[in-house]
Amino acid sequence: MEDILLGFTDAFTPTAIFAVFCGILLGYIVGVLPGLSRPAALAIAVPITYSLSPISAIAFLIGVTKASAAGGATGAIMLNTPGEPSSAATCFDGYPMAQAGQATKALKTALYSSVFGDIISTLVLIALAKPLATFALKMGPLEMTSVMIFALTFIAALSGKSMAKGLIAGIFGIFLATVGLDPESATPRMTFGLIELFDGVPLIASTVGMLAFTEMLVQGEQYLSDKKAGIMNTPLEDKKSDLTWSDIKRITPTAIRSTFVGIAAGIIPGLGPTIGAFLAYAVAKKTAKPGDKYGEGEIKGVAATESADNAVLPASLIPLFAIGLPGSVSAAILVSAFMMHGVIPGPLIFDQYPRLIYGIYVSMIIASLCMLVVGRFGLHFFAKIGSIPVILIVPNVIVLCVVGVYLESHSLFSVYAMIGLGVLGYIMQRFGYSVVTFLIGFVVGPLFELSLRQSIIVSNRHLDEVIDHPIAIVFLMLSLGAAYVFMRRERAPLEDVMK
Amino acid sequence: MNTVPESGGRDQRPPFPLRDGIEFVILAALSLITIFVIIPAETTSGDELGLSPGLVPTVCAAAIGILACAHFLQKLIKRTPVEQSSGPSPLTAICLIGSTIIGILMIRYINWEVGGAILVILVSLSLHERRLLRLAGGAAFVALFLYIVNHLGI
Amino acid sequence: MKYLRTGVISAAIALGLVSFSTTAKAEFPDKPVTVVVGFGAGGGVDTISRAASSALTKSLGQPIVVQNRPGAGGGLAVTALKSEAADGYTIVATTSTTLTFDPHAKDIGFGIDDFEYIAAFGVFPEALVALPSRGWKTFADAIAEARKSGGLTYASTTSIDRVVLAAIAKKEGVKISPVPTKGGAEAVAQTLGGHVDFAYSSGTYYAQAKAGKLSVLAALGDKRVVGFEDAPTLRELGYDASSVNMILFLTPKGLPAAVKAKLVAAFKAAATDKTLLDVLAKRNMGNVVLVGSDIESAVHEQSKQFKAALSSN
Repeated sequence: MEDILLGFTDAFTPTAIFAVFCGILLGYIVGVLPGLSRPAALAIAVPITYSLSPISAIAFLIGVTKASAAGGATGAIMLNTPGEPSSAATCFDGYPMAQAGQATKALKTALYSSVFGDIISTLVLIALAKPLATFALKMGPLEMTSVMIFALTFIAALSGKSMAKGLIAGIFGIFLATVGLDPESATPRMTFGLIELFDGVPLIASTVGMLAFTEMLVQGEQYLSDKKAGIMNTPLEDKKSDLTWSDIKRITPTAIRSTFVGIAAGIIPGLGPTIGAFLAYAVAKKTAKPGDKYGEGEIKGVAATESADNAVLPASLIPLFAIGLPGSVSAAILVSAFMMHGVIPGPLIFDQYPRLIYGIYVSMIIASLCMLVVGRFGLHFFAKIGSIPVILIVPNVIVLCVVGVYLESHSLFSVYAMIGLGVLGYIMQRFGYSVVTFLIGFVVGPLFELSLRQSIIVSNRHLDEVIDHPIAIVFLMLSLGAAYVFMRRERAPLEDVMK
Repeated sequence: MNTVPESGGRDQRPPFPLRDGIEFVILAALSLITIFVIIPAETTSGDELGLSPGLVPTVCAAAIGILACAHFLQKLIKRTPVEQSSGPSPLTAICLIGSTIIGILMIRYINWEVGGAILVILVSLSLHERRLLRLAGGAAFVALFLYIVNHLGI
Repeated sequence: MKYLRTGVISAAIALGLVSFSTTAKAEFPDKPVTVVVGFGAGGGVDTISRAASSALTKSLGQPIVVQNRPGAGGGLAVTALKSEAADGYTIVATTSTTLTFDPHAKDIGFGIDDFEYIAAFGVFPEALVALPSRGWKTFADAIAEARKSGGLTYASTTSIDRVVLAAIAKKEGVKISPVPTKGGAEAVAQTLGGHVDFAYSSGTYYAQAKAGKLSVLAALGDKRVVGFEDAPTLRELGYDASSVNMILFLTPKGLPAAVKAKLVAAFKAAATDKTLLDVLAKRNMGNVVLVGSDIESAVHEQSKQFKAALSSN
């Protein structure tokens, strides 16, 4: 009890609150700008916090992470360019809403859903971090393989018009992710003698290239063809549509459901916010009520992806605090901040640093509220991004893509990879291959391959041992069910994200 | 935006789906090259306990080939009216990509400020921006931005 | 202005010094020195390099700019270092096995003789760990179990542990199957969850072992792990196998003698820095500090050992 009080006091010191505020501000900027991704920004921010006290440092970093998740939606809604890969799914409905003049409404929905998902997830973290540790440890190779299979079935759900083309794109993602050192034998695979490819095709370069850079090409094309056709490039008009009580009532069930999807994606290592957001979207679509127009500016779609996206980070701290296993890339970078201050996340953390943990909990709640304030006041400022003419956006965003990718690794190789994948993404889109299913395959593929290999080894090549693993069986059944539903259902033409 | 308009008069007998045919040939060729040339040359198999390093890439490449074939056959059997590929000319995209590549090479061989400025000017020119003041302003802004990033280290 | 600079050094100082750097020939160092960390921000190598850098700033009298260039287990930074000028202004920090092991195991474009070695700080407390409920006191008990049950699985994180354990398995005539993992955290979690029989871990296990949730079976280094002195080293168990992994600071070959002497002296001075020693202690990396010729010979000795171990497999 004393520790809880002390933690409270620590979190309410002016320095700690100021650190949270700065983190939120920085995070919002990072989130709004495409090309500067959350992990990259976090990695750069970690050393800056070296001289701060542990609580201020971690509060600052948590602020950056939370606000970048919320800020990512702004670009997705206004420009159809997600500021963060995890906001890619927000484009599905956010951008059509903005096109229909409901930008303010979409932005507010995104903000409130983000804060909602965030706070709920933080409360779940506080309540469950300790008890869930035992559960997370039960997830062995066979269980993880089944979870990955489950995640991969969503390629089919997001395939769009042509199932074959969606699958080709997803499988191509898995294929491209096999480039690099083989996880088992550590021999190079399709690296063509390039040491830069030993760790695989860089993820940041892929997401920035495939999503942001490609979008700039498409925007440029659209701009010129509009100009040629004599269409004046009118900025998206905002009809000052506001969020009404009936809207809030309509989206609340979706937000709650999606928050829990996000929490699950956070707890299960490897899934992360991007998959969390896509999963939430798929779930929301599956549970659509008559009259819901997903893909055409459905407000519930925005609420689903954003609440899930923001629910991931706090939840991904659950396995981190409990067993020292980060549930997401951002959580993995936060580990480094803990370590820098001599705190090793693990079972000891609750015994050794209760004051710090409670301080962090309180700071996380402060960060959520701070995000609400900054996001609310900055709403119209950020929304103005939509009225900046394309001729100014395209060159500057391309520069940001180049700089952001470079900063990630300090190497021009990533920049070349970004351009290469950007061109590939452009060609894929022109021929109707979904970039989104590609990215799912790219992210989940390698985890799936590794877990599968682990399963083969620990079961001594007897994969039928799965019969003794109830959790694995549950996920396999879920996968079968999901695959059946996705294959059978009449696929409403899901708008390709970047179209 | 690259939406392919689904217009095109509904003829009595839709013609051979040429576009899908070409796509299939390209994908199948790439898939075969990957399976028989690239993967054997670029992976080494040892005494793995789990999977051979070449297995997953091979399965993926084969699946892509098979799916491409399935897609083509489907189009061949269920002939739909030809989707006229009247998307915007790829020329703009090519110009933009070229401008970016030149900019990056300038960054590589000169420095960030000059390369960034050239990138912005070329991209703007590709988008038919011809106002000198705008071009100079955009270049100066980016050069300044990169200078600050470079020296302050974000 | 080759790289965008990021670092702990106050921006203002860096800006001031860059713009005031003179062309006049001055004594080394007359401009900031860059330490390129071969791993991502926040990892062990990064944390210690940054702590060392602040100590170095004092002893060199110039700011140190720390950059991360992660990739290929430090190999990317080392490869890039080969083409840097040997003027002492670029130093790479990476694990010693990047130099002593990787060139033997993979086809990479650098070798141990391409560089000069300035210093090494700390030793990773590498160990083999298992659940206490297995009832194994030392690694010898695990081997006995492997002989009885027909084989064991263990969570592996690097090629080095695979080489070491393959040598042991060969000698004992038992089957020890490595289960590849993404890293220390996963390896420890797999062990805690009982999915593998034991794990190799370079340091992640420490907190769990202290809490009594894991038991240390053997240390891989030349000395027993501080805090777990009951666990023998592999050598003490009768295996001619060990792995000593340190954080190494290196420069390109051909460094002028005066510059090298200056750097070695600076690292020596930094080695007594209290903050650095604190960070090392917090990460359970001991207080081992080797500089100059000591580290040169240690690195070459290690490289020879790994080469022998690899060719015997």
